[in-house]
Amino acid sequence: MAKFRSLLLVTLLASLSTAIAESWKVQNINLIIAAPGGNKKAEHKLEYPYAVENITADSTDVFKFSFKIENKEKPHQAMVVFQSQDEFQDEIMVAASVKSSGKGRFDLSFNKADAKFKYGTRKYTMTFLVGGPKIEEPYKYTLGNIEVKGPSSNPATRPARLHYQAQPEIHHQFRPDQKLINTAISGLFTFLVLTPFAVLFFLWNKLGIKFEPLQAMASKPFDLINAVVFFGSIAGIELVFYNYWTHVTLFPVLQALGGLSVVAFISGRYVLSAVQTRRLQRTAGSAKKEL
Amino acid sequence: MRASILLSTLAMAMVAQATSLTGPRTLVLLDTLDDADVYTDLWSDLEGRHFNLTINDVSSPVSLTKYDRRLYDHLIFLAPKMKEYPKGMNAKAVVGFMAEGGNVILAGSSELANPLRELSREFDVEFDSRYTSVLDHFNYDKELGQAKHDAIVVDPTIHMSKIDAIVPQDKLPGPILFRGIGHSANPKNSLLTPLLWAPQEAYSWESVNLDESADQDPLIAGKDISLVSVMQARNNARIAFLGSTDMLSDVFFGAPAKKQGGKETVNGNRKFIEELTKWTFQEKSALDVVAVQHHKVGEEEAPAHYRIKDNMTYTISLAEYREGEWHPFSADDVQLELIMLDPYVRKTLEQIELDDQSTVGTFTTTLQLPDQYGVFKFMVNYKRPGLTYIESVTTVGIHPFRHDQYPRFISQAKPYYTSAASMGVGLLIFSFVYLWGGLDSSVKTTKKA
Repeated sequence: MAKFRSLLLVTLLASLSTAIAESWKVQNINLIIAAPGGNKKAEHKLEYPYAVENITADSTDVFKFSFKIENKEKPHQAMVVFQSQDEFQDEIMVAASVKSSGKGRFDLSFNKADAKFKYGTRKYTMTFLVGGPKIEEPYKYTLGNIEVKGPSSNPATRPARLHYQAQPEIHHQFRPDQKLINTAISGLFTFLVLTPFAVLFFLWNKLGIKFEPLQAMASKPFDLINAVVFFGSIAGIELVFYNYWTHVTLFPVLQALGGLSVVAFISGRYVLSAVQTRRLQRTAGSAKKEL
Repeated sequence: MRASILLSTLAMAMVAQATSLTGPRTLVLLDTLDDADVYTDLWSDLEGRHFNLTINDVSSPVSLTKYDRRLYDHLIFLAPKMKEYPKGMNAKAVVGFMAEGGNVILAGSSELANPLRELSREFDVEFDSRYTSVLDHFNYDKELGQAKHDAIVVDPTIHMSKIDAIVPQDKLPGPILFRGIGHSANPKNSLLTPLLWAPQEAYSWESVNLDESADQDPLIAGKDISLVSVMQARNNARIAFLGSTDMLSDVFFGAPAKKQGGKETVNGNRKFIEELTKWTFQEKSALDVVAVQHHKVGEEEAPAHYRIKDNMTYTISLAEYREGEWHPFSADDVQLELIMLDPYVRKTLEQIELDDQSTVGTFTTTLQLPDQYGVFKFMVNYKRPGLTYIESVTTVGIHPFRHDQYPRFISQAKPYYTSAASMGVGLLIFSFVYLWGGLDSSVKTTKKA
């Protein structure tokens, strides 16, 4: 009787304190990595709070997880979260089904699960979460690390957003300048082009040029003026050609040439007649000499 | 209460200009007009920023456009249970409203019905099924989430995107309280950004009857559950999706946040909603191109066309709208691209120093136009998270060299120049010597044997 009454008292008290500071009691946590055929590759019995390290699994393996909840309330959430250890920190949550006896389990084959497992070979942190609305304090147990290999064929690609950001600068490659020959060659040929002048001056020297008519002209102003005008006009014609070559178009040249050519023609006649006079004098002189 | 709200909106309508660039006319849709009492803090915040609120329930007919013009500038959906649109509105009308430049805030809850779910699909946002909630046994609020663990406390330093242009994290006084439905934002959509997401231990599950445990993998869990997402369309209209109408209610604004296993703190809901509505309603982070100039170096006016290898100076002025005024915009990553089908040149523009009188931020650069002739676009394509999209395009023609713009003389052609010149010089020398060289004078002696 007393036993019965104390039992009644205990159950009454227990029912009153459902929401006060009760927590989940989880036992028999078992982790098995199995090959697709069924043979176990690894088996770990886990004890809170010890974590297990260095588990690896191939993409075709099956991850089998089982546990037992000692509380009489059924948990709403009994899941394991896999969080990848790269810069993306993907999270994959896998749920276990818990029977009324409190035993819960799930089998996870990595190639049939979430596509995030197939992005490549990555390391994941596993965390076991148990929670429910009736119990205030939830249960979290970091189980450890696992490396899951990506599939050997057809890995999935992660969908990506375009990240708008400053793009790399592009510098335009200009076409290189036209390759031209060595300037030394053109210098050589320039020199060659000028050599006939040397021959000309040498031969003139040999002939004995003395510029006597110039001295003679000093006393004949008419001849002097004509000479200067004539020489100036043909020099002017050369200058006009130079100008045409470098700066101006045809029509100013034609105008200038028109004027200069008239001047050259008129003064040239007088100059050439002076030359003819000298020639006749020489012929007459030599004829005189011969006589 | 209804009358007092309408009176206050009338009074506010007399007040001067709105701070929003789009305009002040806001339409709010509620399930029933009694719900208006739940959000009085929100109405006072919005009216303090000069918005004219028109609060309707979903049974009264409403029209968003008249004579092809928007009748409202902003739209707030606080009617998650809505089974049918009000007469005169449908999903196409709302999308058209945004295409015309209107901004939308769409808040849901666990009782989200089909019309709003389908509207969200237009924007690549997929809400979870009806009567599901975001549940989290590790981050629930001890006051509001005691019964079902569905009111969760979200830490903005971890679970909020760090885009200061939308909600600056350092301005929030505390964590965010959320109770509602989760959604997933398509990870491939570049215009859609999750702003606030659920903690690692959260999952989205049917929440009416919590006796049945969650024994299948939840469709969305952890950070895949977006609680608040935003999208800026290509015409710069903005829309925000919130999974919880409770987040905006007076109860949640005032409640302290006490996370399971944590200390009690002030929550950051009111500030979060203030910054979010400021962003969505174009009161901040709005940019505008004020002026674009380009010209050859040394000139002032833009020429009719350019020539290849010309040196050109390009200047663009940008202004940013915030706190009711236009301010000069500052950045160090505005780039100019010269594009003819593909970019030929991409250069980062330098900002001219701002002084007290600056009203705009001016960015400039000098560069040499490429070797290729054709019709080019000078494009400033500036798209950054949270800011309006700037696409400024100026089309110019780049001509090749004219026949007389090539170099006139080459040093390798000296022999040719010399020979031509020597012809002229030779003529002068020869005529001088011939005329006055004395070769034909009578003084010449002929040696006679």
